Amino acid sequence: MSSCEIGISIVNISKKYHSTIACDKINLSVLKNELFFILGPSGCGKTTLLRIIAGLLETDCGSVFLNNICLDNLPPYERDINTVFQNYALFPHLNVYNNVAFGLKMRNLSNTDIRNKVTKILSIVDLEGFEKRKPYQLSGGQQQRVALARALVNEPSVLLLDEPLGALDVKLRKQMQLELKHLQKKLEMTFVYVTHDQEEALTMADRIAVMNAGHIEQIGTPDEVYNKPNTRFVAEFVGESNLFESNNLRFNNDSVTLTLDNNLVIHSKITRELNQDQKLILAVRPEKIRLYKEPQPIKKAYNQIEGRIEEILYKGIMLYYVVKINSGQTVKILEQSYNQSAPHQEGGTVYLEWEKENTFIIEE
Amino acid sequence: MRQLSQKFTFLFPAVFWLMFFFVIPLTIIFVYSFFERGIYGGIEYVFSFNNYYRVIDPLYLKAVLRTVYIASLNTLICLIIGYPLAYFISNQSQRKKNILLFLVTLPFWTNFLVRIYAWMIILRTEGFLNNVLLWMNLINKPFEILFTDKAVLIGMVYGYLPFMILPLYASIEKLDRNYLDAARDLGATPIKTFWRVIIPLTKPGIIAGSILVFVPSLGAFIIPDLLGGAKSMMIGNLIKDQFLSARDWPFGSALSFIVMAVVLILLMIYLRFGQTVSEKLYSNK
Repeated sequence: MSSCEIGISIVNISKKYHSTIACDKINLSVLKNELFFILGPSGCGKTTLLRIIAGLLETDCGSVFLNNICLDNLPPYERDINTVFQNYALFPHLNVYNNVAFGLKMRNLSNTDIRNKVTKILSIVDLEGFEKRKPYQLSGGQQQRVALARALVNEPSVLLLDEPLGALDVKLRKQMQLELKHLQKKLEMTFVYVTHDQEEALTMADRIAVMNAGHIEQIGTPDEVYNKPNTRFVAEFVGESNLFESNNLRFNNDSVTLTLDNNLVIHSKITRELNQDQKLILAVRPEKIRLYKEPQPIKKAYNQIEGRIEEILYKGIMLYYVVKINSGQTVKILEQSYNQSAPHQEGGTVYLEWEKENTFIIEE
Repeated sequence: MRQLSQKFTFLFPAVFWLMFFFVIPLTIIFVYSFFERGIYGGIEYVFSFNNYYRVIDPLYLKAVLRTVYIASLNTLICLIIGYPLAYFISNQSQRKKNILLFLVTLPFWTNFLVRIYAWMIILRTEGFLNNVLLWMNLINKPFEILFTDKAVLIGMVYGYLPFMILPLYASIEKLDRNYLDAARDLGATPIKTFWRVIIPLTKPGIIAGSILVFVPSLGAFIIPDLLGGAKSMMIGNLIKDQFLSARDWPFGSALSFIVMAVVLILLMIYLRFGQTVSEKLYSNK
């Protein structure tokens, strides 16, 4: 498991391309042996940040530290960091063995050492017997493993992965997600993993930094990021959210009450310190809401509002409801399709219920 | 069937051209090379290998070897000058690339002969080069360069450099810069990246450029004729003389086929050898 020692820290990093800001004063620390994710939409600057850590890109300002040593003046070939590139970038003129051995040869290891290390890593990534194949003779999944082996064989302090599974089909990707996660735990190595796939981040990460438009929105465990998003962007980018906005907001001791049009009232528990001058938005995840055909007895710990089903979408294991509530806004609800005997109908009146604790507060 | 004849319709001009202006003349030359020279310059239709034996004569053999030597040196110099230039051009913005490539091909807009005469003026004992060097006090007396092998080489490098740069540019341009990032990331210094990644991946351009420079260098006769002295005779001059001055067509034909044979043999060695060397360099198994 990850210790509390800091592996990589990024201090005040900024990077501009012409007039576009790719990284805007970014600060973050990655713990040793942590599987750390940088999650964000394409163009948010996450790959730029990764290339800055690798040394492939110069910063405009700010510093990168590895084990408390500043890397700013070290070229990439002197950094104890290796990268698995998005398109793998396997050398087309070298076979699998020589691709994997490349980094070791650069360090002038003896042929015997190189052979032992390469053989070992190829068995770890399950590619024994492929030594003499050229990259173009491999499938996408095999190429991905070679790229991984080529970086891992150098035993770097930190492994950077830039959307390493992006080119694989869904099934293989899911399988590789688990394999990578297990491998990281087994090797006890620090991984910094960049992706735009929120599901991948939630499945694999120890901690996630959610990035948007060059800055970091939130850093936390998958549970924190999913269940307690701090910003509107995180709430909407990581999973789906129903947001409730209104100027009619009241603070109680340990809760916030928001009154929507038509006197619809939504409560939320306060779980962190809030800046009361800021605009607050209440939100709830679609799967936290239960649907009932009859009004439910009022319970203190629950929110309950009435609505009408506008649309039902079939999603296999789940049903997806679009419900119009009395304030005029629509709410998305995901519910397991267990209620087969008396299914909800489009146009039917329903009662939405969820725990106040599941309502989270976004500061804007 | 109709499709086939349609395809042939479009191929016909090329096939016709190659048959009448390449295959047939070449066959005639090949046949001539086994006959003997007539007393007044005609052809004596007597079959013999004499023309080929004559090439082994030290006089001619020396010219053949010199030619191979100068052509090889020219190819090497063009490669050494052309590679950094092609690399530089391919790293510019699209607009600058177009301008620079245009400049590379600009000399083709002027007649080749005129350009070589210009070089004569530059390289003369009292020519431009010597005057500039004297004026800069870099030398205290003009040096003789025109009508030497050096002048031939200068002229050849000048003449054939674009044929090296263009294919090199094409393959360097195609080189995916991600491979360079990967190499740096894996600990390769810029020099190691160059030898281990850039050179092997641009090998097709190196081979194409070298062939495009080497082959015409072997047959060159205008440059050695004008810039080289009587001592700098190359096989191209020899062939020209056989046909135009000595009126020994059979021997000229034989020499032509020797050149072709040399080109083919060297290319085969180069391709075969180049392949195995790079494969040996990059595998330990």
